[in-house]
Amino acid sequence: MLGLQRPSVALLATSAALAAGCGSGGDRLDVFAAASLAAVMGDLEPVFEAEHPDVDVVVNLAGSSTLAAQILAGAEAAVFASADEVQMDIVREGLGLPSATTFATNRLVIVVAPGNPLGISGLGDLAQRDDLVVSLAAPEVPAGRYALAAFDQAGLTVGPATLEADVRGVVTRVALGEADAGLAYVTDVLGRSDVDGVPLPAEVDVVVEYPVLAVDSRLGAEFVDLLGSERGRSILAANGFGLP
Amino acid sequence: MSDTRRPSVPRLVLVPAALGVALFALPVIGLVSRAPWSDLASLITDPAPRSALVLSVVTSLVTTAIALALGVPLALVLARTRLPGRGVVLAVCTLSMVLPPVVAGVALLSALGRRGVIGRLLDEHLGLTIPFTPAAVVIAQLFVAMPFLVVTLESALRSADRAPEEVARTLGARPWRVLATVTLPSVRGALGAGAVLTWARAIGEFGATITFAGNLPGVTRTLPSETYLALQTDPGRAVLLSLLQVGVSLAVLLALRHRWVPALTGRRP
Repeated sequence: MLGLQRPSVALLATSAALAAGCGSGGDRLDVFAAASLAAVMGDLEPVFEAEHPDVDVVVNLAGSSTLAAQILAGAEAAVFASADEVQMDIVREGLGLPSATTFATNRLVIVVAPGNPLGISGLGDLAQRDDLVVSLAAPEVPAGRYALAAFDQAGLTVGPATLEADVRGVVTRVALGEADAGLAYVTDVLGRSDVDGVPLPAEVDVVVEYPVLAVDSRLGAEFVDLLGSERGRSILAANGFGLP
Repeated sequence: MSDTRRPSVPRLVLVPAALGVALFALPVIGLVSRAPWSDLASLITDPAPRSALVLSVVTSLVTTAIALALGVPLALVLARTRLPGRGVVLAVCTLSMVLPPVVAGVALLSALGRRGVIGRLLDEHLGLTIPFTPAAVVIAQLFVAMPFLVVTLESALRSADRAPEEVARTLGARPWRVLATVTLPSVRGALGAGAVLTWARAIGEFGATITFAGNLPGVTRTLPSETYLALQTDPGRAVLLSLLQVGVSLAVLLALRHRWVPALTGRRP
């Protein structure tokens, strides 16, 4: 009926754009990066491309476990930057690669509505207050494992209302007002106006380490070098990451 | 009726037809060949997938029941009355069929979430919140799946022969009696097909459910959500869970194929 021709036009335009993207002649560098590294990769991509004018950096962002599964299933990743050493080990063992280097660290923070209207002050509130709707990452993904470790260290058990498939889902629930609190990474709330972060008490010491590995190619190794360089470290620090 | 045993189509038609079958069959074959069958025993004894299966079956049946209670009257009104703006109403009621399920979930949140247009009132005045409850799972399934019943039944009602209804009416039957004894029996095939399609879409619902209802074992984690999370840690387990869903859906479609769903199998009653 009405729209029959329009989708085909759109399809043609899309395939033309794809063809143009593929046909530029340069190399392509596929960087598989944990979702929490989105801003860092966004900053690093133009830096690397400026240093290598022929190279097109393509960043694939997802949960570390999803990325690991994709790489083991044969996805052409040149670099794997994981939020989780477990997933990095799975990839290393699966592909028989050398050990990875830690390039950044992160910490957990309690995500609350802007201005913290419910006066949430610590993990105890999340575990014990009945009036709070709590959103955590599922224990199957790194952010969820770290969250469980934090409650363990504090000697608390928590009854979340929902378990998200990745850490961004936790922040989104709080930003939308569907959840009152959640646990995410410090870097997830930095610079956002729709959520605030409440730091964890000092006795909870969960440090998230980000390992990176060049899975393939000389360019991949150069990208890993950039992460560890002065420039890379300043980008990481500017985005709220700790440095090893 | 033509003889279906002898091919009455050009031979060349068989090639794209076979490709079409391959498109549907290959993924299932892929699942079967990749499945770690030795893990099946541990999957069956694990309570997590069982609670997801129970939740999926119960919510999808509740969804189908509500879809019948709301969808049959809706299809009747759309097919049999001179509703002003009928086309617009039909478009609104079937919009969710063409929406990406995640968009459907976001739309439901903006209406029924804690900060949603209606959800905010429910929260303030009744202390009622819908997201993160099994009710939210049912609402997400209804939103996405009910159009299948409405569309199937509406088109059957429009193409059905109206003469028997007229006869019943002239013989003095009241509207309810005409509806129950003439109209609905004349479209029972479409009713069955629509209900089965709605159920099948509901039990497979994922995007709107995880967006609107969230994901908590035993409360809102349906079999598709369980499968998605399994994929994060244990792809083999995800394959087995997928096969479980293929099996359940296939069994129901095959079991009902002769009686209720001629529209699905192409057999006329």
